[in-house]
Amino acid sequence: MSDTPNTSDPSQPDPPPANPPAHSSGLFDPRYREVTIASIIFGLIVGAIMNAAITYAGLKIGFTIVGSAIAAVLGFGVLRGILRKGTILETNIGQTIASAVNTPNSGVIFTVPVLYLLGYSLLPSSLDFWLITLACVAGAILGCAFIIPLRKQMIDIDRLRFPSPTGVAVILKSPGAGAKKSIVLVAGILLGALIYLPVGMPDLGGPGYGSIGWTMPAETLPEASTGEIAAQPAAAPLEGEDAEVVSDLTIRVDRDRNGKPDAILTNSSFDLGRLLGLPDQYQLVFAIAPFAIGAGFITGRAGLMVLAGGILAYFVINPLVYSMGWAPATIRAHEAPGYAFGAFNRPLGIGLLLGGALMGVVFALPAIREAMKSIASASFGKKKGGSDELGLKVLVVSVLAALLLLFLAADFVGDNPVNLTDPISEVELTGEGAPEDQPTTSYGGYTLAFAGQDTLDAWNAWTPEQRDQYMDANNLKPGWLGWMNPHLRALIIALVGAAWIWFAGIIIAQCAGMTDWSPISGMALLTVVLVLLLSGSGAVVGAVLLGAALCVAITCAADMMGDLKTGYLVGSQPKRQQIVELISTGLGPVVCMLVLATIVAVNLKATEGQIPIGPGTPTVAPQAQALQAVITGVQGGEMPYALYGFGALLGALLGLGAFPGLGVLVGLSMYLPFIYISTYGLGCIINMIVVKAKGKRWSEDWGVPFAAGLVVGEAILALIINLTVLAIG
Amino acid sequence: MKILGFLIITASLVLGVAVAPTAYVPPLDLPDEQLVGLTLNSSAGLATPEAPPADPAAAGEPIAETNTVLTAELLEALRANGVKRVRVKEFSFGRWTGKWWFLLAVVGLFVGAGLVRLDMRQRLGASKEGEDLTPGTNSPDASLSAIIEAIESLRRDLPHMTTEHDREAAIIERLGEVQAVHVPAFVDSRESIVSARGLAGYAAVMDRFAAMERQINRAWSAAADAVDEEAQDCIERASALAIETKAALEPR
Repeated sequence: MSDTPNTSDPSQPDPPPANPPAHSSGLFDPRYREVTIASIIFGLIVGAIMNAAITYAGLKIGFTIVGSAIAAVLGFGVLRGILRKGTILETNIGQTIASAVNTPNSGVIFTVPVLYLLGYSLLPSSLDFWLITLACVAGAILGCAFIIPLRKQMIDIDRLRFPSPTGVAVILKSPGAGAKKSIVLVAGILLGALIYLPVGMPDLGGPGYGSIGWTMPAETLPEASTGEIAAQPAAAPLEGEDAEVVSDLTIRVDRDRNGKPDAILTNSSFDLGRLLGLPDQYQLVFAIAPFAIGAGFITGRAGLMVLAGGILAYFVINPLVYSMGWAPATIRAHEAPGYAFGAFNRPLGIGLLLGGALMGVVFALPAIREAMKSIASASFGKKKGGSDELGLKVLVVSVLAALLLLFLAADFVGDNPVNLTDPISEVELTGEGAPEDQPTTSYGGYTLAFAGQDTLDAWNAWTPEQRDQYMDANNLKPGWLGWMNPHLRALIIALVGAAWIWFAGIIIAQCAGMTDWSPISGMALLTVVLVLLLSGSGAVVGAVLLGAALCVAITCAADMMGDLKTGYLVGSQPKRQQIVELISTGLGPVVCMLVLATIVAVNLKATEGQIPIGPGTPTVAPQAQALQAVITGVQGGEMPYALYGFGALLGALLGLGAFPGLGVLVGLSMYLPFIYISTYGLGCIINMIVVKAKGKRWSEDWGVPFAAGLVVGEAILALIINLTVLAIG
Repeated sequence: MKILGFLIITASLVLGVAVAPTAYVPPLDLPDEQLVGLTLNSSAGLATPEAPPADPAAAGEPIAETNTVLTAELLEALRANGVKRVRVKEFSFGRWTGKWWFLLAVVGLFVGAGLVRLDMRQRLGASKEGEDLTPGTNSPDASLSAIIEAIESLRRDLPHMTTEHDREAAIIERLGEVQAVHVPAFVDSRESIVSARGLAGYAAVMDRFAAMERQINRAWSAAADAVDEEAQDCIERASALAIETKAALEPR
């Protein structure tokens, strides 16, 4: 508070400065600490540690956590607390670098492990390992470079909310926001950690919410149930009291057929629908996830569209699929939501996302053009102050360099043989004992390897029908570009891939900007499908290579946009953030791939060389298993392409009326599990109640710091648990 | 009209996503010629067990598993089992019983979008005649004037403040108010700026406005970090950018 009298006179404003002071446009600002050696070292170290811990956790549980908020809090501890000279902007640079190094892991772990699951040997001693790493590095750079020109459109013009980055900005600004707000932030962090503790404890062998033992009330349900048959346990018959309890159970009480009532409160969710006695095909379940409530609160009323889309998917389509007999008769009521999600909701939701995003791009073209003009005029020195933004020349060079890397990786891998055994003798062509000299030949757009010249000669003696039969039996269908020269095909795939990165990056950044959710696995799925269609269903290594690169790219694009939003809110210079992110992001895939290789080596040792990753090891890689199902689905012709198309049509039309992003929001909510949408929606509703009761200003001043605390509290505790699990195995 | 448009959009969306799944789930009352040769993408039917199952509530065995190719005999068995539809891998408009409903949904989305846009156009006309387009919200001019006033007051007052602490406290307080109240109010008036200036014009306004806002945010951070000189320079830059924003906002 100023103690000097206000001498302003509104009737006579001062003239604006004719020559306002120019700001330092170099990377290092001598006056106000922003990019510093300390922030760079801090960001690289914290980013690498988070990357390793989150890679392991992601392979184990199937999803990753965002690192920016953790890095922001750690940044305060290290740069401001220990080094005693960190500024808000310096901490922001630290968290920008840390998240740039950490983020690529989700792109890698959703895709690369599928190669191990499909039986490919991918060890650091192989060229393929480093080609995939190289492709991921290229993807990271491409993702950042592509999204930079859209910063103005998304942040300056469209004003997307970016809930988590907004929360990070609240944390960064806490030193100047006053003690009371800091206390509210810390209270949020503590509560977030406290709520999440029983969710994470089971990973360390401790008790969770499930230990409370809140289960379906077995004694009241048999009569009240819908006349379904009284259950008998599928396992060995029980005796005594257990047998009496079991005889009273119905399928509504004991879905997993273990002879005991199911839990209403599990370690990670609360099943309100079962408590209320809703029919089984309606699943009203809430994830115990403080971050989702926090993100929902920060999003506010706009997030209700996500909740509405979730209700449409899970309370209209799913019950309809069940009651109309569109699901197989073997699917029981409580299994219907899972079945409908995989069969209908996911393709429709991804289609809606694509159509909505496409319409968003079309409607935003004037704004994008304006933003590009602004960047271009700044790049070529026509506009004062334009040096805030990284110039187009640097971006063009980055894109070209990354494209070249992508092409080289695609070209090398595209030329690799697709068969793991000799077509004639069925001798193993990989691993120990594989023949050293393996002659190759081309057929149907694929390179085939042979154990020796004799088997190659035998192949050449086969009739075309015999060869086609072999190709069909091994899912080696020709791709759309199968007839092309392999180098030209690699070039086209690299170019198409780059264009897809740009579009998918926009989708991901829009989703993250509007809701905080990123449909990364959905985009990875589409990427792999796209590459398989172009190069052929047998080109799995190439598809996964490009899928990994693109997946890394879009995660980096979303992260970069989030970091730029945080930077915007604290007044950071975009150019500095863009430079440090472009330089440091390439480290992320290298760290992640090396951690992955270490995990594989440990698993192989533990299973006597049998299982590198997946079921049978502690790292089951759930997302990679889903991708494996998609690859085999493409090979088996099971992809419902028409549903993607119908979804895209609906998504595009939705954007015509209300606002262009509506299709993206509805599609995203159909694609996400309702368990998180419900908790997120709860946060949105709480925000609306708070705004109604206390006003918007109060909500922003006090509610948002608390919500940011919830997001950070869960993330910090999850990281601590992950690191502990990683340390103790 | 806007409400009617949104109602039609909502109803059409629900209809569209509800009938879309039937694209891959043809009814078995279609002639055999349209179904024979298709491949099941999910199991179908429920086989009658030879002996009572150990678990009466267990799922049971299907008549046909996934990847089974439909034959006339299998179709007969499925129909006899009471199966109405099966999920197949192949799509055909001819087999899609929900196509007309889906088309209706598409038309509905067009009509709903048209009504919403018509309403926006009418409101734009009203705004040009001087009516308030967004009742209950500040006009962009008023919000921008408040921002400019806060910046200018700081420019006037800061030189008279004797200590760095006073200057930093003043910057944090006054720019904090701008960040919390006036910037959101200006952003909330997007619809009226777009109506008056078009999307490209709105983008041009926001380009300058955002540059100004970032300088305000930087000044706030610098003040919080006790970097007095940087904070004051940022205020000077914000002042110049505010004038540019005002110029971009003026009608042409």
